[in-house]
Amino acid sequence: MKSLSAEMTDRPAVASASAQASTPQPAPRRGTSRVAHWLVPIVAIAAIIAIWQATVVSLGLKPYFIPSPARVAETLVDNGRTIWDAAVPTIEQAMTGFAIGNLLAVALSIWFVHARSARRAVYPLAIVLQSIPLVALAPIAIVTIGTGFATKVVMTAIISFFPTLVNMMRGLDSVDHSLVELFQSVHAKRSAVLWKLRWPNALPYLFAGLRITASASVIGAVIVEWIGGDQGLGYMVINSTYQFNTPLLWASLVASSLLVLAAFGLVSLAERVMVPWNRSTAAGDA
Amino acid sequence: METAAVELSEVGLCYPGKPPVQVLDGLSLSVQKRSFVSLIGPSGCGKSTLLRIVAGILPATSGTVRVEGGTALDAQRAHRFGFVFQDAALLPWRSVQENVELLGELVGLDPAVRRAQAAALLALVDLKGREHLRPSQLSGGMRQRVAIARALVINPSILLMDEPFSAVDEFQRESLNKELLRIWSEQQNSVLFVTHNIEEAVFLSDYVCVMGPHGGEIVEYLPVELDRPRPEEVRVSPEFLALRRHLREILVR
Ligand SMILES: Nc1ncnc2c1ncn2[C@@H]1O[C@H](COP(=O)(O)OP(=O)(O)OP(=O)(O)O)[C@@H](O)[C@H]1O
Ligand SMILES: [Mg+2]
Repeated sequence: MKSLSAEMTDRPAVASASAQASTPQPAPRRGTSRVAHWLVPIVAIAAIIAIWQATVVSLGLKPYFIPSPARVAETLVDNGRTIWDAAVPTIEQAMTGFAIGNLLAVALSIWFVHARSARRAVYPLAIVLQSIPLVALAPIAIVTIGTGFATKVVMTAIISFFPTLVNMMRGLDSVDHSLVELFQSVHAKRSAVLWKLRWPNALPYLFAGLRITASASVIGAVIVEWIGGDQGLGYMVINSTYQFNTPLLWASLVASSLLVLAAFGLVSLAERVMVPWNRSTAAGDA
Repeated sequence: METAAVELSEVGLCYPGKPPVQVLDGLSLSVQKRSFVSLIGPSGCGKSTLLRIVAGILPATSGTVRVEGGTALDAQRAHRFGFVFQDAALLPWRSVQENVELLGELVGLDPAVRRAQAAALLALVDLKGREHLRPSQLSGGMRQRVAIARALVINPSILLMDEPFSAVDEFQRESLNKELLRIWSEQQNSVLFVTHNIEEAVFLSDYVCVMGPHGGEIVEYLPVELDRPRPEEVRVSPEFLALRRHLREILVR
């Protein structure tokens, strides 16, 4: 295993930004084997499930109150088709919003590098917009745009926008000043400074943003469906609540969190491929 | 007479701010072509600032700067400068080879030419076989050698070095000094070399230029008349020790 490099300490923003989204996990230390690294969380999850099962069974709790994990798993399998059909629109709107929000954030951050006054004008607005809670914004969006696909995409795009914008701006800004001067000393074009220096420097920060927004866009999609939807996992949550179908409620929750994990995993995988020089940081959250 | 590589006359520099900081004031200095000039002086006296002015990164607020007969910006556009920093400042996402090729890309060197050039320079700085490593896999001294190779890839006529060896230990510094002299004798460029180390300054230079603590006046322009090539033993010769003592007296005063 490679030893931790200096880069890890060079990039505090990545570490702190990703810490918001990822579950706290010990970084792989020298001497800790790969197996142990994965074993600890797996054992922890298994233990929680076992305690849950034991509690439900020993206290004889009714499934409509709290279903046992075995019952939830059973429901998940029995209703696999229904749950999958509900997950598809959730995935679609999460992915569309994720793509739009992140593309906008990246484009805007690049524009901000070259337009300082635009940055001063727009950035505070963005911060204000970000401070509005999703549950307050969703009804407004539903009233003005309706309950359709567009509303949901707008909401997930908004959710995906800010973490990436903030991370990207930090990544594009935080270049070594000596390197900027090196580029200047040969009269390099501004586009060269951007694409050969700022952009690669920002990639680890971009992925920190993507890791946060991949999970957040799925969660956001579910919440928007929950507030005002007629399909999707969020709708399934609220529907099964009204029907007192508690096992199905739990099953749809598990399905949602599996989606979140999958989104997070996909981004982490892409990061390993695209930012190989930053392996130490990636390994810390994977 | 041949035009000087660098000719500064009455150069002043004032960093704007509240209050503005007048770092350099009326500084004059000339570096002859193919000569090695060291700049030494107390911390904060404006040595790094001076290098930035010469490279055209920072415009002087007064006085004139001539580089090879033109302005600093002309020289910048003609890719005359090689810059080496205290921290190697390599791009972590590029391999050693790609780092050395960087400036070649920026100035539009033909890919085949810059690849060959980079390979030759890596051999020159004794890093053959390490082309594919990333900077994080190198020692501090190796990184600094990559930074030197990177600066040389565009064949600069003027090398500006800002405390390039201050982050490596004493032994590495001495071997890097020797290596730098060897490279310089092959490349025949002019060098403006900032250092805090008196011995290093004497060992390397044709002239040691001592800056005063404020206003950036040059308090001494000391020729070092030791024969080249300079063997390691020169460091303990009476002439060398006398120069060292003399510089120490000026700097400690
Ligand atoms: N961007 C800046 N804005 C304002 N003041 C600056 C700036 N850069 C440097 N200075 C000031 O100019 C002075 C000279 O700085 P400079 O970096 O040139 O010194 P130096 O001789 O290289 O010092 P050292 O030996 O410590 O590297 C210092 O007092 C510093 O505080
Ligand atoms: Mg300095």
